[in-house]
Amino acid sequence: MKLYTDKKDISFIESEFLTYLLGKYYLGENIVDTENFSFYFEASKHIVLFDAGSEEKISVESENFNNCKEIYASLKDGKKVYELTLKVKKDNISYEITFRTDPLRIVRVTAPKSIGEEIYDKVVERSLYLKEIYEIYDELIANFVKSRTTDDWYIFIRKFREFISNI
Amino acid sequence: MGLVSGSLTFFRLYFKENINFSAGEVAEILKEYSFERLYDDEKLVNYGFVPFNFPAVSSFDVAEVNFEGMDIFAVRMDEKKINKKYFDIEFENMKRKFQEENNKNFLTKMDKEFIKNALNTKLLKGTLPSTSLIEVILDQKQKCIYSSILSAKVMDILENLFRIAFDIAIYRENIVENVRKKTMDAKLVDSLMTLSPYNF
Repeated sequence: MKLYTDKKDISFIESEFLTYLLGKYYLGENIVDTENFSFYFEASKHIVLFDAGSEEKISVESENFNNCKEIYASLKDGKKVYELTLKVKKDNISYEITFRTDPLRIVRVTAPKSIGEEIYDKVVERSLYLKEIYEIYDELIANFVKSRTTDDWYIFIRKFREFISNI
Repeated sequence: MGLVSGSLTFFRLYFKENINFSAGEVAEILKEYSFERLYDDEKLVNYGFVPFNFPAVSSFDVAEVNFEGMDIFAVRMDEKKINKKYFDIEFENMKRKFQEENNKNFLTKMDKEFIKNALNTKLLKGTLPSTSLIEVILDQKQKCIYSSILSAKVMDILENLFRIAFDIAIYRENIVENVRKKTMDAKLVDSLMTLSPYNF
């Protein structure tokens, strides 16, 4: 008799999420509205792609992912994104956020320096940046899950596959 | 690095309990479980709360804790490490000396334990610790904590400190919990849990 129910492992969703973000960027669908603000993101600087089957992993450092043949070839091979840096722009504020899987989390953040002079002002300003960064993170995840669990997903996949095959 | 300048890398942890401590209450709790009060010279690892701008400000009597509704402070962790080889050599020396001084032909289990404890105490007193300062933001409304470091050891320490000090059980965020908190949509979470891997 089974005395407990195993929790379903959905960790595969983490690399799907990061691959989705890269796909959204390539498709130009990279403007996002939250309850409080709008932002857009660019995939750049650092990416790690991995094929769980062959255990082949590639790591790319580049300022511009648009001309990066290595990334396109990896996506065609079926690799998924395991680590990704996004440049996020909101009004005149820019953040650099690096996401990593296993488990999914933010592992690196670059945010603007504080313009405040007093320590109290600096801390308040930077902690507000931090809250904003996690709001962005939550919005991206929620949008992904909403898409992944509806027919929107198949529309996205079709467009993404077309994009990859046309390169 | 941290809230004042440099990289703004913070990890998010959640808790489920409802808490509503005033700024004064938080300061009192932090003082009660401060590094200074919990410190024990004979422990390998010491930890406790310190003001976020420690060591410039060292006491919660004068430290600023509430920053526009968020409680900001730090956890100090001091870890002493004793070289195992050195310990083994000193242990053998002490055992020999103990036997000679007490005219014993052999040592009982209790004797060995006594010598080991005495040696531990002696070595720990003369060992300088390795210190880490972990910046922490407690957001009572959002039921989350942001921590500037999150190794397995730091997680254990934060779990214990927040349990004894604030009576909350903190845990790591995960994608399911993030979606649940963000959307409050149980149906969406159920749909998420039924998904299978997809090839792009």
